[in-house]
Amino acid sequence: MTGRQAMARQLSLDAQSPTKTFVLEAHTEEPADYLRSLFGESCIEETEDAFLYIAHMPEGDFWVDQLNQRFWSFHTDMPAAVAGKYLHERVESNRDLDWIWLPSEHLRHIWPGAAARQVRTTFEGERMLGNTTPADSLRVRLSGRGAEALLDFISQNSDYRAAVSFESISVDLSDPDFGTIHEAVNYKGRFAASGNSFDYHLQFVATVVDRYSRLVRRCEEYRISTTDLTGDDSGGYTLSGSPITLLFSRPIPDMNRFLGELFSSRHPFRLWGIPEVKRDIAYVDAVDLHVGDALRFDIGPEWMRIYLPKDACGNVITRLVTNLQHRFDSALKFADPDLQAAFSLREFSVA
Amino acid sequence: MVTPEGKVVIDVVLYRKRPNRLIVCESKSGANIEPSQARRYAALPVNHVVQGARVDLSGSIPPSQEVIYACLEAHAERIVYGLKAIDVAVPVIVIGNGRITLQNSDYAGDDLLQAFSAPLLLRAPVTRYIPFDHDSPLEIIIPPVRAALVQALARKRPQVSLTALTEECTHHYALYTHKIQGKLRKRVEEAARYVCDENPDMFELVPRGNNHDGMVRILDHPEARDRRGRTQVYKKLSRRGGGLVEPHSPMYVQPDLLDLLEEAEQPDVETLAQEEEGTL
Repeated sequence: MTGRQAMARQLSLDAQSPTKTFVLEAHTEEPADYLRSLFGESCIEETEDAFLYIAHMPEGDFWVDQLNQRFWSFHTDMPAAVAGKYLHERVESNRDLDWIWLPSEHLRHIWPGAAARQVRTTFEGERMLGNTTPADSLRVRLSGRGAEALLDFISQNSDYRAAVSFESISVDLSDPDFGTIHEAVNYKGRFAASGNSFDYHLQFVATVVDRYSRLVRRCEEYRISTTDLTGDDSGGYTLSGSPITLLFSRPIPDMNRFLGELFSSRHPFRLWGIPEVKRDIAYVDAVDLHVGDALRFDIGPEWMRIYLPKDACGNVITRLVTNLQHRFDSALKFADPDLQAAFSLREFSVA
Repeated sequence: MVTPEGKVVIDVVLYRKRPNRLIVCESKSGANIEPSQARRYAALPVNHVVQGARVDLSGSIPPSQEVIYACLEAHAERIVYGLKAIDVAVPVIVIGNGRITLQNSDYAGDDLLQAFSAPLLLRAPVTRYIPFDHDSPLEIIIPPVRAALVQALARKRPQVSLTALTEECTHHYALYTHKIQGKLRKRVEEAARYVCDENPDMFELVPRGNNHDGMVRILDHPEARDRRGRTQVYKKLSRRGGGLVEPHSPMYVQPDLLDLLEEAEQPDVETLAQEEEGTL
């Protein structure tokens, strides 16, 4: 039998073959059975830890940690492309499974005090913006300790402020108790690490996931539902929740183009909907095709309102918001201060 | 709720814990006041409201309440006049295009006066908690019904009953009495028929019978197709419903030439690394 010690030994964080960790969000009441259905019964090996499994693939193993029952970590030494392909196929074909979608600010402030070693930003706004802004597309790859300062400088220019969206970042971390690690993470919750402390890597991943989880759960507090007061037909219900409102840092330059792309049913948004535009406001009864949730939108020139139904998952919002940051407005904000705090990490502190 | 003056069905009760303050609201979509209803509202005992609305009070301060009317700006004058004519002294919240104001403010309590000391300007239209009801025209009901059927496609369901469809596209379904729920189901069936006629290759309506619920059968399953085929089906549904055409984009993706150069550079990088290690 094997367990967490064996995992730490096998995943050695070697610089030649860094350990990869993919974090997926899973919605299931039966995690072990669901994992078997994803990979096949014969591929799954139990370990001494009730929350830890090994998924044996032809090219290598995934150590699947379900300690966080909603956000599972898939650790592996397989090549990133191979491991990514396996998981991509499963996410594509299972609506109960999704990547995590880290907002730009979550990457930017990935670890308190950690200086970025490398930063990549991507902004692909052509489809939503057309050629209406100077920065309809912007990709920046920077290395060295001045990377973030240079990005801050670019962000101060009003033409580029909405186009600086973190795609990935790598940092060096050192701790007298843990050791040293070199961590890289991208906006879809894929981590790569080398160094001398697997525990430090686990702490790093858990911290990033906890912050993201807080944002997702806070979004879910806004789900709209009614509760029967009397339990009979006499009427009387309490209403809970409210729409989630996003504020854009610049007006939508071409509403038809924006809506056509957002509700095209295609990746990355995977939203279906037929907008009805009245007096510059679009009203949309939409479906998130990835998870199969119906949700409503009101969209104005500088804002978007999303009505999340009672059973919807908060990652519908994080996926939307993070992808909007990479395709429309990296400087968008939540109107609600609590959501904005979890989104921008103003409330973040390490225990 | 039943009071000595008669029965009152309150539209909305707002409650603030500190200091146990309730606002009881009658919402008027039209311009007419019902005098007997208005008098019953004005005479509502606060304890009846607390008990009837199952409000859990906090602290020891006795509850207090304020009755208000809410109406659309187009009808505000008549509503205010109607209340005055029957001597019912309550403030009126007026929903206008882009703003909310308080009228009959002489009768308003301090909380309301403070909140509406100036018109409340709206950056966006009023929130649509209840997007339609059983009296709404069919064109308002069709979009949520269409979305609920697309949701059934995304969830790979073989069929969806008309009752389930009604509950899914009417999240406020539970707000209504059985009688109104029946009317809603009927309206949703009409909308479902429209969507099925619009997409005969996708959906088939099995009408409700005397002894059985109706349903919509799913005839084509986009989720069973490959990624491209799946997207095409959803796009088709969107086009048929009058959806927007997505922006033009090139059919191929230009490879990133800098990435190609980077790949070509790789052997040189490896050679350099070997040289530095003294292996050449």
